[in-house]
Amino acid sequence: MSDIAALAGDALGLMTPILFAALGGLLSELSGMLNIALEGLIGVGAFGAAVAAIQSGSLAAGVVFGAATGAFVAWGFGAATLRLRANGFVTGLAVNLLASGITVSFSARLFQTKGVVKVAAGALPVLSPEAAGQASFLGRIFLGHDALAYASWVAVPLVWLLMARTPFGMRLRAAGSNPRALVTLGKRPERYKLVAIVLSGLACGLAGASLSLGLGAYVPNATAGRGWIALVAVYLGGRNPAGVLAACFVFALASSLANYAQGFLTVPADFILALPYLITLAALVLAAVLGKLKATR
Amino acid sequence: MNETRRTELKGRALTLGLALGGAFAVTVLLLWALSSSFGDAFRLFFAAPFGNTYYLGNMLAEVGILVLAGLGAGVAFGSRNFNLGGEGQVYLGSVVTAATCLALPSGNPVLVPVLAAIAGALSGSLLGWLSGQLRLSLGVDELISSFLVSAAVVYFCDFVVTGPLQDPSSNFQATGPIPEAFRFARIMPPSSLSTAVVPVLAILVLMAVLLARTRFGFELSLMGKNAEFARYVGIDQGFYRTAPMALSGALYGLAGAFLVLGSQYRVMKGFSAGIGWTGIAVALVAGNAPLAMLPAAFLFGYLDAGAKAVMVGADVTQEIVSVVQAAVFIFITARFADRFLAGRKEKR
Amino acid sequence: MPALLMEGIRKRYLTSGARANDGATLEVRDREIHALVGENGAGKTTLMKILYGLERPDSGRILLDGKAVAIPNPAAAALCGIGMVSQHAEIVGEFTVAQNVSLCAEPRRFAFFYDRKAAEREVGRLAAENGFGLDPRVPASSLSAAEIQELEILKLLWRRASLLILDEPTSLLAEHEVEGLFSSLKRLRAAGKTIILITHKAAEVKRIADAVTVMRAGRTFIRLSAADLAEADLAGLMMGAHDAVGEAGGRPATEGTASGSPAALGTGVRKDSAVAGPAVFEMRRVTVARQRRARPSIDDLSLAVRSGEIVGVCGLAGNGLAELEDLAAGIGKPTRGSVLLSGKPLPRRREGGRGYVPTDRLWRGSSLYSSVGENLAALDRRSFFPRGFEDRKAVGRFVEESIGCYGIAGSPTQRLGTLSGGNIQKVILARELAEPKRARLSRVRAAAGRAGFLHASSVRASGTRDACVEDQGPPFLLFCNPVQGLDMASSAFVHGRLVEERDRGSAILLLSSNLDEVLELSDRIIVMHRGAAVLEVRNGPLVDRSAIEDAMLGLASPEERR
Repeated sequence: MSDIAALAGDALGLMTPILFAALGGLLSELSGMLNIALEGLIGVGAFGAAVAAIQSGSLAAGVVFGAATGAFVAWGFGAATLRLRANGFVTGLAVNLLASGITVSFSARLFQTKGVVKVAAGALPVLSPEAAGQASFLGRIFLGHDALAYASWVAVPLVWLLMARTPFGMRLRAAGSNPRALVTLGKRPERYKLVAIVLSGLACGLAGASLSLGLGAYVPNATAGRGWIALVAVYLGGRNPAGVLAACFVFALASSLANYAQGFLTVPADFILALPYLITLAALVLAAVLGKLKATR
Repeated sequence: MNETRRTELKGRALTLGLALGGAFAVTVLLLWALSSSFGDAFRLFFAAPFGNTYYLGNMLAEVGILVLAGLGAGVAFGSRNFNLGGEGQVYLGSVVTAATCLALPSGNPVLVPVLAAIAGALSGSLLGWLSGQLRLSLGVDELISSFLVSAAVVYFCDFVVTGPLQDPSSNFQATGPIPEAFRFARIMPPSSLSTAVVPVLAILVLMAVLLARTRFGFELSLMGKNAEFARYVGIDQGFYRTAPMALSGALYGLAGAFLVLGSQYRVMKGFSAGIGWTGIAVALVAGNAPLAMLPAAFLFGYLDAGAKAVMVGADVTQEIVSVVQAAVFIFITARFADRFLAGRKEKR
Repeated sequence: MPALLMEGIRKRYLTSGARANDGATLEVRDREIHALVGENGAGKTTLMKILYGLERPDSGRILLDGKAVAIPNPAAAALCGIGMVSQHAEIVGEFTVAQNVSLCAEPRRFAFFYDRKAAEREVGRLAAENGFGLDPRVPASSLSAAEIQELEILKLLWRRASLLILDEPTSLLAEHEVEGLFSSLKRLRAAGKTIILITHKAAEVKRIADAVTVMRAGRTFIRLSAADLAEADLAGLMMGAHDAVGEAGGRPATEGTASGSPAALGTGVRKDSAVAGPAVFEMRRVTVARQRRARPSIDDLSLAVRSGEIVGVCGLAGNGLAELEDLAAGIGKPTRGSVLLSGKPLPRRREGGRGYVPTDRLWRGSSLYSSVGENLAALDRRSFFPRGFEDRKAVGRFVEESIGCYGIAGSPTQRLGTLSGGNIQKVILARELAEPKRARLSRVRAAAGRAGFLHASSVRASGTRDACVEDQGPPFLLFCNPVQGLDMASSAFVHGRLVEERDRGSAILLLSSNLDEVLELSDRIIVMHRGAAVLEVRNGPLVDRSAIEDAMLGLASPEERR
C-alpha cells in the first residue's frame, strides 16, 4: 500500500515538466500551429533557468528567466514561421537543433564545463518533506513536491478557464478550428497563433526550469525526450486540459514504475532510458488501433 | 534555358547564397562570443580543415557518410514522407555491420563486408519501413513514430555496444575492432579517410540514376510534387508511403555500415550522434537532388571539421555546429516556402 | 439617393489573369431586396467580396448613402454597417450558436471573461425577434443547413449590420427551408434592412426580389425592377441567349448567338449523329450520402454511355456534378449502387484505357511544378518505363508529337505552371487522349507487318496531321467542364478533339455546367438537379432547350423525370 503511494507520489513529481510542456503544446495545437519544437524549448528553458539562478543566486529569478527564455525562443520560431512563411516543420527542427547546440556551447563558455552544472542556490524547496516521510496515504502522494509542481497542477484549470471561458481563448480556438471564421469577422488568425506559440514557449520554459531547478543542477540533455512525450500526450489527451493531464500522469506513472522496477529487476540502464519512448510509441499505436476499431463498428 | 527556368535557378541560388552567408555570419558571431581568442578561433575554424592531412582526410571521410545520410533524408522528404529516425537507423546499421563482421572473423574478405553492409542497410530499412507501415495501416504519424523508434533504438545500441559487444581489452566504450581483412584501406593515414568513398560515390550515382531515370524515381517525384495528381494518374499511394521510408532507412543504415567498415573499424558509443539530423540538413540544402548532396555534404562536413579544430585549439565547443545548422535551416526555409517539405502543412 | 452605389468596379486576379469584374456598376435602394444574378464565373461573388472588404478593387468607387467610402477589410465594412454571409458558412463547429454569433464581439463579465449567460440570453432574444427558432446553447455542428444560415444572419445582426449580403443562400436548402428564409428576409426588410442576394436561381428571384441586376462576364448587364420580371426571360438573360434587352417576352433563341458572354460558345463544331455501340460505362442506382443528416449529394442516379456516343450531363453548380465527377473517375465510392467500366467494377487506380479530363485542371489534372514532358508522360508509365527504366526516345517522341499535334505553346522542359490555361488543357488532352504506347506499337507493327514494312517508325515525326489522326483514343473518356476559362480558339480545339474521339468509337461522358457546350456536343443529355437525374433527352435539332433550362433550375415537375 505504501508502495502505491510512493509510486503515485513519484509519478506526480516526474509529471511536472511533461505537464507544463503538454499544456503549452495544447495551446499551440488548439490554435492550429504545428509545434515540434517543444523539446528544444524545454532545453533552453532549463538552461536559462540555471544560468539565471547561478548568476543571481535566486531561484525565483531562475524560474522567471527560464520561462522568459522559452517564450523568447518560441517567439522567434513563431515569427519565422508565420511572418516569413517558413515551413513550420523545418523551423521546429531548427529550434531543437539550436537548443542542443546553444546550451552546451554557452555552458562551456560560462561554466567551463559541458557537463553537470550545480546551482549554488540549491534545489527548489519542497512542501514539508519530513511530513511526506510518514504522513497519511494521501499525504505521501500529494506532499513533498516543489512549488513548480503545484503550479503545474493549478495551471490545468487555468488553461481550461482561459480556453473555454474567455474571448481570447475562444478566438484562439477559432484560429485553429476555422481561421476563415476570424478573417470574415475582420480579425487575423496569425496574431492568435503567435500568442499561442509564445505561451507554449513560456510553458516549456517553466518545464525546463522545473527540471534544472528541481534538481538543483543543469544536466545536459535533461529533457530526455519529454518534449516529444508531451506532444503525444496532447494528441492522446483529446486536445483538452483534463485529458492532457490524464495522459501526462499515465506517462509519468510508467516512468515511475520503471524506476521502481529497476530497484529489484536487473534491467540495463539503457532500457530504462529507452522506456519513455517505447511507452509513448505504444500509447500512440494503441490509440490508433482503438480508433480504428471504433470506426469500423 | 528559358526565362522561367532562369528565374527559378536565380531564386534557388539566392536562397543558398543567403543560407551560406547566414551560416558564415552566425559562425563568426558564435566564435566571437565563445572563444578565448577570436583570431585563433577564426583562423582555426576556416583554415585548419585544409591545414593538414589529418583534418582534411577526416573531413572528406565524413563528407562521404553525410552524402549517404543526405540521400536517405532526401528520398523520404522528396516524396512527402517524414523520416526523423535517422539517428537510430545509422547507429543500428553500424552495430549490425560490426556484429556481422565480428561474428564471422574468418569469413571471405569480400563476401563478409558486403554481407555486413547489406545487413546494416536492412536493419535501417526495417526501422524506416515500420514507421511507414504504421502510417499506412493505422494512421500513426510517421514523423513522431520514426523519432520515437529511433530514440529507443539508440539506447538499445548503446546497450549492445557497452554490453555484449564491448571490447574487454579496451578502456573505451566500444566494440572490438573488426578483422583487418574486412576493412576498407586507409587513403590518407592517419586520418580516417578510406577507400569506402568509392562505393559511396557509386551509390550516389546509382541513386541519381534511380531518381532521374526509373519509373520508381518518376513516381516518387510526382508524389512529392503533387500527391493529388499522383493519385489521379494512378500511382499506388500505399506503396509510396512505405517504400520511400524503407529506402531512406536503408541509406541511413548504409551510412552506419561505412562508418564501421571504412572510417572507424569499430562502433564507439554515440559515435554517430548527429548524423541523422545533419542528413536532413544536407537534403534541405541540396533540395533533395542526389547530385547536389555532394556539395551540400561538403558544406556540413566543412562546418563540422572546423568546429572540431576549434574545439581542440581555441576552447570552443563542437556543438556550435548545431547552432549553425539551425541557422541554415531557417535561412533556407524562410521566405521561399520550401515546397519540398511543404507537405507538412497540407497533411494537417 | 440609393443606399449603395458601386461604380465602375474593375478587378483582375493576378494569379489567373482573369478579369473578374470589368467595370461593374451596382445600384441598390434603401430597404430593398436586391438580387444579383448571373452564371457561374460572372463576377457576382467578387463584386460582393469587394463590397465586404475581402478583396480590393483595381479601380472604381463605392458610395453609401451618397458618401464615398473606402473598405479595405471586413472590419471597415462592419463599421459601415455591411455584413456578408458567404456561400460556405464560416462557423466553428465545436462552439455553440451563441458563441458563434458573438465571436469577436463577445459580451464580457469582469472585463476578462466571456459572459456566456448574457450571450445566450441576447442571442436568444435576437433570434426570436427575427423569427429564427435557434437555440443559442446547442453546438453549431448539430445544425441543419437552414439553421446555419440563420446563425450567419444573426452574426450580421449582432453587429448591427444594415446592409446584408447573402451569397447563394439557398444552394443547400430544401424547399420549405427556402420559404422560411424568404419570410425572414421580408421581416428584415420591414425592419429597415437592405439586402443583396447573390444567386443563379432565376425562379427564386421572382419570389423574393424587389430588383434584379444581371451580371455577365464581369460586367453588369442590366438592372430590372421586379415588375419587369418574367421568369424564363431572366434565365435567358443570365445564360446569354439574348443579345439585347429588347427580346424580353419571347422564348430565348436556341444556339449560335455569338455574344460576348462566356455562355454562348459558337465553336461551330459540326457533328453527325452517332451510331452507338454497346455500353462501355454504366452507373447503376448510385447514391452518395456522406453524412447522415444531409441530403444525399447523388440520389439514385443511373446512366449508361455507349461506345461512339457523347452523353452530356449538365447542371448548375452545387447539384451533384462535382460528386459525379469523382465517382466516374474512380475517386470515392458510392454509398449505394455500382459504377461499371466494360461490365466490371471501376478500378480505383486509373490506368490507360480510361481518359479523364478533370474540372480542376490545375491541382488535380496537372503537376504544376513538373515539366511539360513529365506531365505528358505521367499517365502511360507502363509504356514509357519498360522494365522500369525510362525510354527516353519514346518519351521524347511522344512529347514532341503531342506538342505538335495539339499546338502546345511550351517546350518539353518548361515547368507546366508557366503555361497558359489553354495550353495546360492541351497538355492534359494530349496525355489523356493518347493511346497507351504498347497497344499502339503492336497495332502499328501489325499493320506495318501486313504492308511489308518491317521498320515502320512506330511514331511519325512531330506535327503532321496524319500522325495525330492515327492515334486511337481510350475506350472511355470523362470530360469535365473542359473549356471553362478557355479562349475561343482553345475551346474550339478541345471540342473538335472531343468529337473526333467519339467518331472513332470512344464512349464519352461530358459533365458541364455550361448548357451551350452540352447542347453542341451531346448525343444524349441528362439534367441533374439536387443530385438526381431529372431529365434525359436525345439531342437533335428539335431538342427543347427551354425544358432543359427549366430542369436545371429545378422547375421541372416530378413527372418529367425520365
